Amino acid sequence: MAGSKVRWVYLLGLVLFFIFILVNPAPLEWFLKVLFPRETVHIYQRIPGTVLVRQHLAMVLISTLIAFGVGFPLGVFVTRRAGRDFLPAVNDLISLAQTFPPIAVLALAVPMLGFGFRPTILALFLYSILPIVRNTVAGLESVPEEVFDAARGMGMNARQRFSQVELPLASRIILAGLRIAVIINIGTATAGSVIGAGGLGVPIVAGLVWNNPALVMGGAIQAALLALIFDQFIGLIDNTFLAKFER
Amino acid sequence: MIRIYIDRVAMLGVITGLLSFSLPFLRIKPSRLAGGTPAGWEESLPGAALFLLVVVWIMIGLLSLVSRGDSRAAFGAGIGANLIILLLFFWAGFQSGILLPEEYTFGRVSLGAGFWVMVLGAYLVILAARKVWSGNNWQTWLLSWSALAGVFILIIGGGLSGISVMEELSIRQNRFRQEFFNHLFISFSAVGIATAVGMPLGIFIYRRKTWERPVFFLTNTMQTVPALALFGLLIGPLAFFSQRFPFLRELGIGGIGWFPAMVALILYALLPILRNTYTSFQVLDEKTVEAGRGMGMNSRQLLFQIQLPLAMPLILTGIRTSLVQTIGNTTLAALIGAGGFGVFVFQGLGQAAHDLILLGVFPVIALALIADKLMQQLTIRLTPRGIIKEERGNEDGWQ
Repeated sequence: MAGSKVRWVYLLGLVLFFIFILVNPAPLEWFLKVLFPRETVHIYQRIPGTVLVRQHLAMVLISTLIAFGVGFPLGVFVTRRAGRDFLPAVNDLISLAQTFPPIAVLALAVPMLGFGFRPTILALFLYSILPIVRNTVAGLESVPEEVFDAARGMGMNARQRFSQVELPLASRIILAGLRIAVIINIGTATAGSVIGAGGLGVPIVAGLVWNNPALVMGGAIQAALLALIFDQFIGLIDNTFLAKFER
Repeated sequence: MIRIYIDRVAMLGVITGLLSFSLPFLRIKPSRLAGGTPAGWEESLPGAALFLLVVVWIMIGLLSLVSRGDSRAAFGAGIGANLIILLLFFWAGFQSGILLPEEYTFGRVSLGAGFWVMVLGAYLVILAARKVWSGNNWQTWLLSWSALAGVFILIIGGGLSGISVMEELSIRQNRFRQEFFNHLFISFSAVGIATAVGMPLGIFIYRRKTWERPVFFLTNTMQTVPALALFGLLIGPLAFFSQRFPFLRELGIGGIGWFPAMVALILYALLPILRNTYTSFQVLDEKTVEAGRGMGMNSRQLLFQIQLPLAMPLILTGIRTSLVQTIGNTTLAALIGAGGFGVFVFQGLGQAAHDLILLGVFPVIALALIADKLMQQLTIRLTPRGIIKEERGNEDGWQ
């Protein structure tokens, strides 16, 4: 597909640009100098950018993985016969929890676990489990009854029906949930620097505290790029591998 | 003969409720910043109060054994759970004044993990009861709201004033009021402007398909950018402009303050409204529009008398999503000096004062929940009679 090729190139461009400004901050510094000639410091130097990116990625990936590890089985359980009793309660709890702002969950984790890396992971996990469960349920529920009947007619047992029929048909919606979880996590992890978790929010918050817009802007550009890269990447996975399950 | 027909959700609630007895009910702290010591249920409650709690839980547990098959049992269990929540808040407030040792002049009492876990357990029982006890009558109302109403009256009446969060509130009541209005003003005007822009834009791209892709690309990208980064990205250009043009500065427009916050929030709020407007027009039944045209309506009449009313429920769902999301994001706006409840959150984080954090977080969650419920009601009211479907929950909560 031609459109898909253009998007891969776009993604590659974003990644290369991101790595480029990470290892060689000179062009970014020049740009910020033009924009803010009055500031004396333009690039955050206390912690190297590569460390910040690594911290950020660690937070996002660990929390999303745990959330998927818990959320996906939970979503499958409440759509099986054994767990169907819990489906309405899970739906209600999710639509209630969904109104909680991510930053509120982050702030609430501090009284429980203190400052640093662990409360951030907990908050990111708690929040990203919502779209994962929600979309797993929505995806599995969206499989039409006739398809089930056909699978049953072909002599498939429950396990085969799940892995060969239901799961593939639900995969796009489940992936969409994962994508939302990752994007929200990247954003919330940025705010995680406020509670001392490190990550790409550090230069932004430092810039806000020292009243230096150049630092804020530098950090914001990196954080925004990272989010765009992940969004494009998951979108392309969907496009390349799962689009055939389009209904 | 009573048939055993276990409600497993309610049972889960009962187990959660009983397990919470092993966690501390309150925390006694020598000062507002100290971690404090946990106080278990026996040490913080009078014997009779504790006995009553246990008895009510046991009754809920017994009722839950049969409540799947008997709606009166479910109703009883639900009312019991409401009673539990009320009792918890009442006793926490009542005991907080008594439990502090004499030598703790600046001592505080805050709610422990056991308190919250028990509230969660009771809430699960209420959820289960509401599924069995259907119907739109005063009993349903009682099931859903009695505990909340009771707690509200308790707060207004000062029954909780000994709890640490409320003490944080009492020493900054004026500031709280001010930030409350700030938060409301920023969130609602941002969503208001986003609606005023997003709806026409959605209709526009529905009519001119060539604009569809670029507009969606831009707004989608905007949603992807982290909120904190978007605030940051706007500081640059806005600070630049206000340095160049003094008249902007006089208007209060600069890199810091309510203006960049508002711009960022509008950009965020735009996508759900835009997307839902567009989708609602697209899924509109072509025959209905044709019928209108056949009746001799011009495109203006078609828009206002057919398309918009029919599209309204979905558009309102988009506004609802935007509003809930914006109320949350406004918290972050405090970081760039825009005010709002985030002020307390970040002050609290800065001082490591947990109760101050809670003072910022609780109202934000409450506001988001209230806004969500109000928008839900508005959507039901404004749905044209002919297309009323069953309420399907927050369909479009996730993009």
